[in-house]
Amino acid sequence: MNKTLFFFTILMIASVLVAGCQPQVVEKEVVVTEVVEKEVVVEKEVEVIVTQEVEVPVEVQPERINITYWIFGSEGSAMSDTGELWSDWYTRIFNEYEEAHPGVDIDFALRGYDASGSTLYVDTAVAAGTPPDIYFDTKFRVKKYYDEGLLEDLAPTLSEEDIAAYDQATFAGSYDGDVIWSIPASGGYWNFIVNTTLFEEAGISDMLPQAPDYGWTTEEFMAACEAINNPPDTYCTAFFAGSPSMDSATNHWLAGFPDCQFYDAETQTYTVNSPACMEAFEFLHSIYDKGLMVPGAAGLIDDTTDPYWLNGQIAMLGQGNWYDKITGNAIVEGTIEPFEYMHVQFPNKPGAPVTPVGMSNPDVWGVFKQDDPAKLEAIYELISYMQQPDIAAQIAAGWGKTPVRSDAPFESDDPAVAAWMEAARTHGAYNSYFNDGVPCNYNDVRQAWAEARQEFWQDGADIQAILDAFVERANGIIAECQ
Amino acid sequence: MSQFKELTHNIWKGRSGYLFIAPGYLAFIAFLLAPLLFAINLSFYRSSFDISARQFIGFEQYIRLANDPVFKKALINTINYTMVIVPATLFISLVIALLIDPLDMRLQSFFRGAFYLPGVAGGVILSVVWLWIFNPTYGLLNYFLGFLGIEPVLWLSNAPQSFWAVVFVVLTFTIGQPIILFLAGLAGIPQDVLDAAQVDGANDLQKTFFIRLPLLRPVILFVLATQTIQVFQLWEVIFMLTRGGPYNSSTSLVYLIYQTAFISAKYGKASAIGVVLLLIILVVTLLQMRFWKDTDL
Repeated sequence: MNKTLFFFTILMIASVLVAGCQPQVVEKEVVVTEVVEKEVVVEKEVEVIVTQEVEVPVEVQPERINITYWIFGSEGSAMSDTGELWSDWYTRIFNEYEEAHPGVDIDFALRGYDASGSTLYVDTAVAAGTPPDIYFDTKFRVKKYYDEGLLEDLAPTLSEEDIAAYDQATFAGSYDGDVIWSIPASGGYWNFIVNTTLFEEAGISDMLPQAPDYGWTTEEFMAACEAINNPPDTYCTAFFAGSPSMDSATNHWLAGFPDCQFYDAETQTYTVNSPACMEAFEFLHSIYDKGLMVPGAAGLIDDTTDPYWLNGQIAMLGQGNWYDKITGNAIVEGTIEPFEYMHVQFPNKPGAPVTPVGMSNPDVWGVFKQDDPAKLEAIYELISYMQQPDIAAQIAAGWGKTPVRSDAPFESDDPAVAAWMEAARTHGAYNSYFNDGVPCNYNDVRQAWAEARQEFWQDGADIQAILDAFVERANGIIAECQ
Repeated sequence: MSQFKELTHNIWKGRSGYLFIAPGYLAFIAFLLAPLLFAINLSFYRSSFDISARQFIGFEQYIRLANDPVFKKALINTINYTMVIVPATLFISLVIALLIDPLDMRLQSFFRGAFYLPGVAGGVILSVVWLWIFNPTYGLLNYFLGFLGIEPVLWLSNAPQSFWAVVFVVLTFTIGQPIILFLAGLAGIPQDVLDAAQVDGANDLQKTFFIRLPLLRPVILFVLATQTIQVFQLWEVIFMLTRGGPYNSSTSLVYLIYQTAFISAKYGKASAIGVVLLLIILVVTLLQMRFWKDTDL
């Protein structure tokens, strides 16, 4: 026993000593020297040589500013519209920028693609004290750095005209009071996508929503859903809750229940357990109860749901732009039997207006805190350049998304995108998570929400209890950092 | 003083030996001991990306853990995994080794390879394969169950099934190494002991229980200890199959460490979970060794 206690004590002392060997921040001692002029009198005969002073201009080389710019992605990834490698596109853009801005060097890299959706590479760099200067990624992944106080305020990079040009519902998530912690570049068009070939083959195309709004009520949706459902060959729809990723596919359904707020920015609390939200989730669970969705939602992730859609086994589901992109690619590559599809609105509860379209989780720029004011100025200038309409439009098109700036010269071959943009102008935009602002510790809340959804997609789920438990847990999470 | 002189004399005498082990020992200190000690220290702090800005909170970290329902769930799951997988691995690998042992060498080699191969492939590759076998619509398992008239089972989406799915997948690659070890242990049993038992009238079952198993005790203890440590560190299968879900029903302590450190960036809390895991493994291993040392089979 004494030996055990002795070794345990040594272990604790050693751990303290090792932890003490951390690099300490040492304040540099500023030494001020004073130059004192002394007059020296020399009495001596000297030969005076007259020389002519000639001014020789000395070229002062400005100090070069090196900016590291990382984007979330993998080497070899290409732009979805042109097929050009992202690395080539950025190299070209930055070469042009560097020529126009001598003294600025931009060190670009694709960093951090992780199958789990984490940003381990960037996290490691941050922990090592060498984060990138600029990081471009989806909002929730950049937010966690802001939550730790690691990002700069980007308000100085935007003019009043710039701010007004952004879709305000989407841009709202980039604000924290007056601080603009990120600038959104591109977002997905999160419509409801429908495999129209399946409906044509079943002879029930007339059950689908029609132009110009492509809107329908929950009752109309259920009628079409029950008519098309024929498991295991065809499932009406699908959900997945196996991971926090892509949970907008569930949250966007709340757009059809306008009184339901996932998060209330005024009270700074999660409110998804309200009676209005209960109505929404009871509707969603009725889809499960009637066997109208791919089984096992609690264990599925987006990657395992994709094959169902590509093989024509799902009639319709949320997250339209993702499925639009993968279907288009698969048809071009010849890996699937081609089928027709279109985008419609999420169903809205009877009496509610046509659902607004969503553009959640936009890709945003974040800037890590800088010590050098000159470098920060250069970074602001670069961000200001990158977020201007034509560059932002190219970024959006490259990711198969739409620009958040309404003045971006954006065109897409995909008619669905044009229809979506028109619908956004007509019906407004819906932020599926936050109606204004993004609270802190959002990643932990997303994890809690994934667990709540896993519990939700079970037989006999007590919906109110699940939502109450989530709200209590989520509000506790954000209370820790408020 | 004379003891100190004796100590320094012994060190000097063995200096070449110490020099030989120094590189390995320095690597051990740099890559194992120092990070371990640092993690223990970090467990008393609230820390995120900027570790130098960590805040000391002392034992409050552990008190919070004790009240964290997700941590409690992970702890219970980890203990359940150990109590199911370790005995199952031991039993299955021992039985298979006893069945393979009497076979001729060529057949033995074949079965050794067959059972060891999944272990070489590793948890990640096997999990990817099983992910599709367990698929509720496309999966091979539900396909064959359909022939028996059984409705499709949601192996990874429902609470008790996801736990057992993880157990099953882990067993497919943990039994390989113990089989090899048991076969080696059985080969080391002196033949004359078995012959003497034979002369005394012992049958195969009696020889197994009263001679082979007792003589295999060191190997059994080794397998028990290593398997316990391995199962306590279960992570990759959970990550690939269930991500700890649904609603933490299949999560483990190591998976929770991964989530806490690399998703939530809470390094202090993750370190605390790691320290708890370290203490549990230490206690369990010591108890196992004490139990097996004093117990006859």
